[in-house]
Amino acid sequence: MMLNQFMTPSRKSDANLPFPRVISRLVLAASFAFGVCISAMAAPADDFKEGSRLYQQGKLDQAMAKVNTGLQQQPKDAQGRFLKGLILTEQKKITDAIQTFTGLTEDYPELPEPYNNLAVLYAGQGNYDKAKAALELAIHTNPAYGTAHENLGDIYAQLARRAYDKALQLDKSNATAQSKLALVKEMFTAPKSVPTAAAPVQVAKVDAAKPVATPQPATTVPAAATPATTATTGAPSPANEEGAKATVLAWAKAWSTKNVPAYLGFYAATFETPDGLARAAWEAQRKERIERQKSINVDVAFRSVKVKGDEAVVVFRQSYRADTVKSDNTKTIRLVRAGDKWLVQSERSGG
Amino acid sequence: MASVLSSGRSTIFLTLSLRVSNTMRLALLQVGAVLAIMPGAAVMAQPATTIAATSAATTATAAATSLPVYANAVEGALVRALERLKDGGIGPALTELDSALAINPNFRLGHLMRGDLLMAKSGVMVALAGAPGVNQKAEMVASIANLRHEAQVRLTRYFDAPAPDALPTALLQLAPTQQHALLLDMSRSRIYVFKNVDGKPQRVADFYTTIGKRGMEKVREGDQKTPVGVYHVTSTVAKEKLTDFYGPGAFPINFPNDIDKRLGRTGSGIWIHGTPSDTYSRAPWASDGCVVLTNDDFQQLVRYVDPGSTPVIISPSVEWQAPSEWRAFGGAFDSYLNQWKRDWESLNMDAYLDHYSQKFDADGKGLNEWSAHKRRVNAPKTYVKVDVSNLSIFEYTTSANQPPMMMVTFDQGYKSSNNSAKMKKRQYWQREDGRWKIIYEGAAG
Repeated sequence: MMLNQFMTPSRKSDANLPFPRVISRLVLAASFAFGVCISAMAAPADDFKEGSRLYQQGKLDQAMAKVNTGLQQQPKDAQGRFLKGLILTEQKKITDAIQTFTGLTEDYPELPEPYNNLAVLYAGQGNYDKAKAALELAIHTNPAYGTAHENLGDIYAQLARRAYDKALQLDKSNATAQSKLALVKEMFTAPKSVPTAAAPVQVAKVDAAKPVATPQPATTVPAAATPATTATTGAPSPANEEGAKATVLAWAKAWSTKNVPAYLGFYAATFETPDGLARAAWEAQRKERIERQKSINVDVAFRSVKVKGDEAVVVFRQSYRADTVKSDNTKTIRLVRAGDKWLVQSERSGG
Repeated sequence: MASVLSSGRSTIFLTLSLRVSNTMRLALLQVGAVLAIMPGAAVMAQPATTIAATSAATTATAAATSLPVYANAVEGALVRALERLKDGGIGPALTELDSALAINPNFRLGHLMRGDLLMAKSGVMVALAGAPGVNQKAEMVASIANLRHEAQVRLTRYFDAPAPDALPTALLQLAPTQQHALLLDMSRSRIYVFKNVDGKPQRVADFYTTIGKRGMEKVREGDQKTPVGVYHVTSTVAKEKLTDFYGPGAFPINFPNDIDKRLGRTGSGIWIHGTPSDTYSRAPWASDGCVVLTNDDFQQLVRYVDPGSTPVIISPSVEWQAPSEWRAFGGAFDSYLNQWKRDWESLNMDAYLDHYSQKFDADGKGLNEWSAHKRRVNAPKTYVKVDVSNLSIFEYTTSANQPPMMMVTFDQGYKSSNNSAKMKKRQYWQREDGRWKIIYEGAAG
């Protein structure tokens, strides 16, 4: 019986949620009956068999070498290519894995498993629409294919969650559940036009307790501050007009690159938050609003810069472009001197 | 799943909703909630075809209106999504919602309903991705409540609508200078546009609106309420002079008007305006007292507004009548107005003064003082001729708890044996002991 449990760390965290089974799911894909016959095929099949064993042991490079050897003789072999897709997935070569499974769906459109795994990989990338389409094809080829049905349910749940997030404008970074769909580790459906088809391939037994890594979802949440940009914050700026201007430009850049830590780093500890918000609440709000946008571009056109001792007042035209928002307005930022840097003490719209 | 759905309007959603709320103490399935709050019979009895059929019937009637079936494409898709849910299942309903969201990706209610449908399709409970913090949860609950409210008012427009030819008692007569009039029914978060057809209103459009976050009946500055009364658009504020918050433009109205001032109501800057560019629509009760439309709808509204003359009647609720009933209601009032004019022209001072209420007040003059003055002025006259033109008659509601007054405005051409004058006159009539009496009269401000 091919049984894969994905006891990933994120799944454990789900245990704290009201619905432990929210998205994760164990897959009981098929019965033993398929698996136990042993192939007495010639070389390529042996290569795949050996490759499969190595794969189970986590010896991915060796497994890949075996599979490639087998595929040299039988480049079209469905089982071999399927195994190759699995190994690539495990190796986190997601693009290659997608390519491999896509090739299988093209050559063997009657097989539901490659569609399923393709869907899992797409879902891992957050591409639920493509995942959904692939699963629908899997179900189309085999309406009784339980794994695909279950995975499709999970995809809908993910789409529902996204829709709710959009409706309620929830912070994306709080989204706990990533897709943890079931990758099928074995093809149970016999391909129609494969040399090895006559004899079912041996299915290696899997230690169910052994954690099998799921493809790590490539989250859409942008990476946090890059060290390079963070460094700009710390860069000293001269206590003159040029220094004040440079600070505002760097501030706009941090904002444009959605580098939240760097962006927040431009604000003085004494910064006067709007509406008297608590600093933490204000920071959280800024973080949420910045990260919510796929892209942000802030252009600055200076109107006036006045430096007086440890204070500078910079008035500029701010042109803000985000996913769906555009605004152009005059902005006034008051900077204060902190050591060798300028930091934002207050900001407001208007000149 | 489909069979559960088709077996009743709310089974699946309410069932799921129950499961969710038991566990999460949060009712997440809004479509279910929406269906549940809809008058059940109305949803069932007014399925898909009814809305279209009603409108077809309307166009067939003599008083064919140019009223569109749906106020806009987004609302149309929303309503059709619910209809598809009944007759086609979740998939077609999702397709409709997707089309609404393609038109405007910031339509949050659409996303919420889409979430509900996807969750129903998945058969898997979805925990909302809110942070565990108390504030965030409260915010989420408020957010859901607001979207639910929006769903309710938007859908009520279609499932419990006034008959297409029904007319509001609030609008009895339009002056020739008033080509259109706006009527805001705050109980339904809806602003109706009427075209002036020979002085009679004809409904031509209507839009979802947001009012003050604390509701209606503005009393003082800063109370975040929307005033009730009869106003007019005073001017236009161009987009260029506004921040993004106001959308494509704004129409200030003349709050506080004379009545508001007499009632001691304070405040300023009550505008009709649009939404920020990242927002499709705001919650039904969300502004600081302004009347807010979606930007698409505001652009439509612009076509009908004539700054300086377009009346804006803001009412806690609107009473709709069948045309014959409405004509009878207006006719009954007209007869009092006409009798007042005749009695004045007859110089029968007792009959004339009988039209004025004991509570009559003309700029501080009570009824007695004012009556004495009128008797004195009219005594030497041999004839009086009063010409009424440019007449408008609106119901004026000062509060949901008070019966409405009639606000009558007209150009008065006055000629008598020893005098003549022209003025714009305004009267407020009130129902007393079964008849209409004037409680205030003076020059229109």
